[in-house]
Amino acid sequence: MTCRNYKELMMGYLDNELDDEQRKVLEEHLASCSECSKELEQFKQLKRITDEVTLVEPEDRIWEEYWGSIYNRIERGIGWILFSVAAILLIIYAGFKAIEELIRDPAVGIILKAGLLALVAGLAILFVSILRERLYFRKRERYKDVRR
Amino acid sequence: MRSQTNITIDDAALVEQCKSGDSDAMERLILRYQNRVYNAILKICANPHDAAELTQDTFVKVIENIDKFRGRSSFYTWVFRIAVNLTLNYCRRNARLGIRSLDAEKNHHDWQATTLLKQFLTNGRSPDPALVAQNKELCRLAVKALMKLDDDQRAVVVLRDIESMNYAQIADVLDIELGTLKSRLSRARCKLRDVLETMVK
Repeated sequence: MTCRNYKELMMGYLDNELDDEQRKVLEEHLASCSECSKELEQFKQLKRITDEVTLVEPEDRIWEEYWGSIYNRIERGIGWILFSVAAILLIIYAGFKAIEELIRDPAVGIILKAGLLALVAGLAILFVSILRERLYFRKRERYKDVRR
Repeated sequence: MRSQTNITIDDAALVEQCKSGDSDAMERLILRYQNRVYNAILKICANPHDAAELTQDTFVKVIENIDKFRGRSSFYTWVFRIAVNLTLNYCRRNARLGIRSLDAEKNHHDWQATTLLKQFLTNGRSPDPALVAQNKELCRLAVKALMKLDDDQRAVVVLRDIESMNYAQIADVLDIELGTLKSRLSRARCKLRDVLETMVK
């Protein structure tokens, strides 16, 4: 084994992840290799630095509206679906009412009727979809208050 | 007395309560981990605002997917797996868009912190631990050095030294082999050492 191979053992040593056998192998090597024992000292110091970086308590402000927004986000997902479905149905219904006489008129061809119905349904879905996107992006856009 | 027993309820029991629709149990699980998850995310992404948002994304996912959690790993590593995956995706997206933290660009270091760091790195007498703990600037330097690592390497160091996970837990969170973890950790620390050494030069 070359000195390079001992590096992973050194890490395990620092992190307390070696079994007795591995520890013995490393310690025997360290006793005979000053380069590696110097390096281990360096890594010990390094680990003390990274250990020191530990917990920085987040400001309470972060958690203040936290719960509200977690549930809001989940509820909003469901809310949006219900809203979209209902809005689409209502708009289709209104559109259908507007062309009801045409539809009931036996003189108008079936293809024209189907076309009109599809048109109404398509418009309803497009309208709701664009409305949703508008509302969504207004809320999400982080720079909306920045004047450009 | 009641609060005493509450503290000792373990994650698995709380998860079972969540699955049966107890939202208090979920709240307690989140309170138990939110600071640690936030802290780990912050150390990987180095942006407090986005870290808060990523923490929230993490728990939204936890709430949405708790029913699918089978308990093959612990709840603890499961939460961190979600958090780390979201954060690494965020880092990759930012890298693609060429966004870098402004903080990483600053090149001025506090003289006292650099001296302290130098003392640390040389094998001589170690500085007073209290002094080190107080020195926010040293922490800032260390975080900056961490930011020079690859995202994957940084995640390993953060989970090991900052979150104090053992190797098995880290391998579980990152879904990698133990051997891969060991070599990644060793590479990460070598690079970190080099980065810190150039900082004090």
